[in-house]
Amino acid sequence: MSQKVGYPDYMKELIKKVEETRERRLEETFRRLKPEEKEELLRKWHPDYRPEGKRPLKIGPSRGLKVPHEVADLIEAYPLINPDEIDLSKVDYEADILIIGGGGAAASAALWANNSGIPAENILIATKLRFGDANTKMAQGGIQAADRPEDSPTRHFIDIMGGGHFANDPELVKALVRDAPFIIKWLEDMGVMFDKDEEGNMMELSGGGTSRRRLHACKDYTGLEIMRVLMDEVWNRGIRILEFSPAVELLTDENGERVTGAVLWNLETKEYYIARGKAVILATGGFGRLHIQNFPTTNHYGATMDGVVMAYRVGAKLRDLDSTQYHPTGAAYPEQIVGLLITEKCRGLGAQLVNIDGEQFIYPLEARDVVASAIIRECYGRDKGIVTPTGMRGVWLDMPMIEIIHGEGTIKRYLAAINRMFTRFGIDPTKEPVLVFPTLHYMNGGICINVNAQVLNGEGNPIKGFFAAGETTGGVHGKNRLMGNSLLEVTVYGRRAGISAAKYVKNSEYGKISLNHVKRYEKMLIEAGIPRKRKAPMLLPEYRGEKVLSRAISLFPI
Amino acid sequence: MGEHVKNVKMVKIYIMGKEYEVPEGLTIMKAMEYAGYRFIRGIGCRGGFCGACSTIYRMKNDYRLYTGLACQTTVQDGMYLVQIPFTPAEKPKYNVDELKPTGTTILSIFPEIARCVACNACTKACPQNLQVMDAIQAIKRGDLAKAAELCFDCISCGLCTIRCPAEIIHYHAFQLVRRLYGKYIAKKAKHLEERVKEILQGKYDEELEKLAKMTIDEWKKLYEERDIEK
Amino acid sequence: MNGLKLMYFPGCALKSTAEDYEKTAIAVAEKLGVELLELERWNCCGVVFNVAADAVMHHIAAVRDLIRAQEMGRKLNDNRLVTICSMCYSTLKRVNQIVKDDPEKLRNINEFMDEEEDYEGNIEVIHLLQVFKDLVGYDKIKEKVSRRMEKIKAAPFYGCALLRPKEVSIDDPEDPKIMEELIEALGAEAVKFPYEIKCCSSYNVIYDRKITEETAAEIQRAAERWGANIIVTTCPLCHYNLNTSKRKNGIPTIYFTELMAYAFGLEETLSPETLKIFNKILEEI
Repeated sequence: MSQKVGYPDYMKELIKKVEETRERRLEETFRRLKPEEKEELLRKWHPDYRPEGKRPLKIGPSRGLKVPHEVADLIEAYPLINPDEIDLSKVDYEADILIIGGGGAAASAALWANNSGIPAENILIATKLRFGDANTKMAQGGIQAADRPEDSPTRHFIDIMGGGHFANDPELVKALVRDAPFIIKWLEDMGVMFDKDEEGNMMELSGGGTSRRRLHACKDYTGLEIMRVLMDEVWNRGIRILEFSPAVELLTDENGERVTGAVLWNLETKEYYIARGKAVILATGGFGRLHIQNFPTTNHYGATMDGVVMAYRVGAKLRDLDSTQYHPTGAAYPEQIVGLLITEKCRGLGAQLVNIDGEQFIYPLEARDVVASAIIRECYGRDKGIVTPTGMRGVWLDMPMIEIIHGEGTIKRYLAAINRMFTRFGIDPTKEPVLVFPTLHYMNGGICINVNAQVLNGEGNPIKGFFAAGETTGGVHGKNRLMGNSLLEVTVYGRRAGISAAKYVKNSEYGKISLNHVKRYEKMLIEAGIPRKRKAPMLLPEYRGEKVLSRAISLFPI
Repeated sequence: MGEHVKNVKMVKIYIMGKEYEVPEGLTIMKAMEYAGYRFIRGIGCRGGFCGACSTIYRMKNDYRLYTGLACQTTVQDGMYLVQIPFTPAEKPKYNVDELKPTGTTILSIFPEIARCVACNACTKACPQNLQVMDAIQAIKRGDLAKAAELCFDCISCGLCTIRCPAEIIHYHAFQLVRRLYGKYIAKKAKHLEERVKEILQGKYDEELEKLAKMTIDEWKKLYEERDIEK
Repeated sequence: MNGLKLMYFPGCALKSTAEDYEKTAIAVAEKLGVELLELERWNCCGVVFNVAADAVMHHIAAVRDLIRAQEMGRKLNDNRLVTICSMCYSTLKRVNQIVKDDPEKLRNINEFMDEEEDYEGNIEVIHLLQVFKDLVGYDKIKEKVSRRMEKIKAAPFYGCALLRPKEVSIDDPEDPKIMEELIEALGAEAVKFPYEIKCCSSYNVIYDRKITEETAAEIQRAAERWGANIIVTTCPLCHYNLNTSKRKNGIPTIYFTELMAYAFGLEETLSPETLKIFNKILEEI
């Protein structure tokens, strides 16, 4: 039971314009932009291209890399712990493979490490919130794989490279597209309920930037469906899970050449745990809760880029962090759901983007960065956006077109999540357009890895015992990820990390544990003049009311 | 995130019995943060997908219990609420490779389902407005396909389980139903099997090798010339 | 009489372990001009457990089904709800009687189920046997018989649910005739035997299977002694229990609608096992 807000009267009036042009627009296809036009659009309107939004990193293996201020503030920051106060002599948790993170990549890694012969009790997943609390669950539209006869992994490859502005690591992309159909089969065999026709063929859709329909979906709950099956299987196998215990620092051997564990911190009891692993897999996800350039986000509560911070201190190289993905269609009204994801699948099913005059202004299935820029231009450059009562601007996503094109009941059936999201607040997407504006969505770049999911240092060599997978890594998507490739990335590279780590531990013992790398990093920070009060990782964003914060004091001694 | 709250009407809500004044229009989650709560439990995706923020509440002069997700429910004056961040219900372990897709399988792992008295408390508790009782009834009569369809949008928030007088653990049973449906009842995609075989046999290896070694200009050309399926 | 549409309540067993029962029931009813329409939405009636104690909570399931019947009954303009499984018959009829006799209890239940319309107590629960006797008539049944049935000596087994408690019995609870009449209308020989109203041991099959095996053996032996070569029943649980007898060459138990389907020449609705039963009987004679 929620208050049914619905649209205010003036917005209902504006919707009439959308309804007037709808019939004509059903026959219209807005032309695709030429490469130069795309370049210009991005340069002028994409938030990434605002030079004031970024600065180069001052220290570390990726010194000079331009990253958003919010990211630099966390990377150029002091540890939360004081290394001298942490007792490393007592080990609290031990496992052949220590996985940090609790989403799709972590679960895939755990399962495939187990499949590769590591007993379940020798795999430990340490996660910040609950197991499964991750961006994976919120992915809606689909997972890409080239499994139709009309399609091929080579086409998939080209689409990904183009979408990524050709900055992707081609070897990582090659592995991704080659593994993709196998991953879908693996998921199907585990019981994931993909949308299929009566013969069992996958119902596949187009996404932005794809040249073939290859998005496999489970209504618009694809991420949820995949994640919960992975979780079910991890639980079935008896793989160990430690919840509400984020890592706050990695542990390395004395020379810092091998990652040998992590310092975990129990969010509820405040105790720290020393966890060591013969191999460590980092799968900590993205950075939506940094609210880069003050954008709202689609991400879950814990998406604070912890993994990148900790890996950088160990010496991992980073890439493409100058590139942030803003999903073009985040909800812009009502205020309660601003920033939440409205899947690209809506556009894949025919919904058009429409301005205040009821006219299209961009081909809906251009790559995400292009569409996002076009919407920002429409609202702030051409002033043809719609303004909500709280001052938020947006354009219409004409959802009723989906019902007209595919038949009544399509939205209720295949876009159940979107339908629910809006009907809860008194808006019926089967009859009314919804308001959208870009929202902070995905960390295109991240930690450098190779095709075996090994983390690479500044020289491009693997750091011993250190693996990473999922949104926290960079290189797969280049400067811009296509829809459906992140669910693919977490499963493909989660699997690769699990298999690689399993191989590594078969011939290794536990390494020595130390926080020397942190001390070295601290020195670098001091030398670079970084202010002491800046600390990282962030762990959780701060949303408490300003009034309360101004009077809040911590009185409990620990 | 910046707060642009000025001249907004305030409402009184009761968080676990304690009165707080919060701006009208906030979701329960944002209202609790406004009041100074920093969530560790009872929070997840903030978007209605993860089931972490189950909330039960009553309204003034209304005997009914209402449920909702804190992140998707707006506060109202007089709301008297509590969060249920966790439902005690251990998940039974099983191996789907060894199970048959029948109602008997589900009932043998979740025998409490036979105790369902059709009281509908679960349906009333569901924040996703699912026909929970009907899904349980479908399991009872062995119609797993129907059960899978009815329970698909379940986010495992656990409110049904908390309210059930027969102590059924709906969301765990539903997970098994869906997996059995997806694995055994839904037809397998033949084209997928074909493609996996082709890749294993190396059909695309040479082409992909070549592609991976191309220059940016060569990729650009291929990208611009690619034909796009309607 | 042609084209009579009646709503019916299948119950859980008919949709899982007793699919043959439902299939043959619908087929023979159709042959006799009765279209059985499944309730659009229904839930498990709860069987004996839901009427074992005076627990309002447990009556809810059955009342909810009566409300479903009320809703559909309005569309059909007919308030008769047909049941096929005799346990469902007994449960629904008993709960119906309980709430009709106790308006306070009905009011309680209606208020609890505030998401449903109120049950007004106007549904009449009947069994398929009654449909065939009172609404179709034995003459019509005789007409549709297309094969010689006299070699089949069928012992009717009523069990408990159709006859007890006597307030909801479909016939004289001590000396019922309704199944005998139907068997004779089909041209087969009805073998009345003393254990025809004995309890099959019900859910004891779960708690102590030996009791059921022995009870089944006793009933089978008795039926055979009185000359039967097949036992006919209306209840999926009796059907299951009677077939647990471990006696060698003991006579089989089938559903009465399977007997009717065979008599009407509707072999395609019978399972291979049931067909084998009939063929065996006819061979041996």
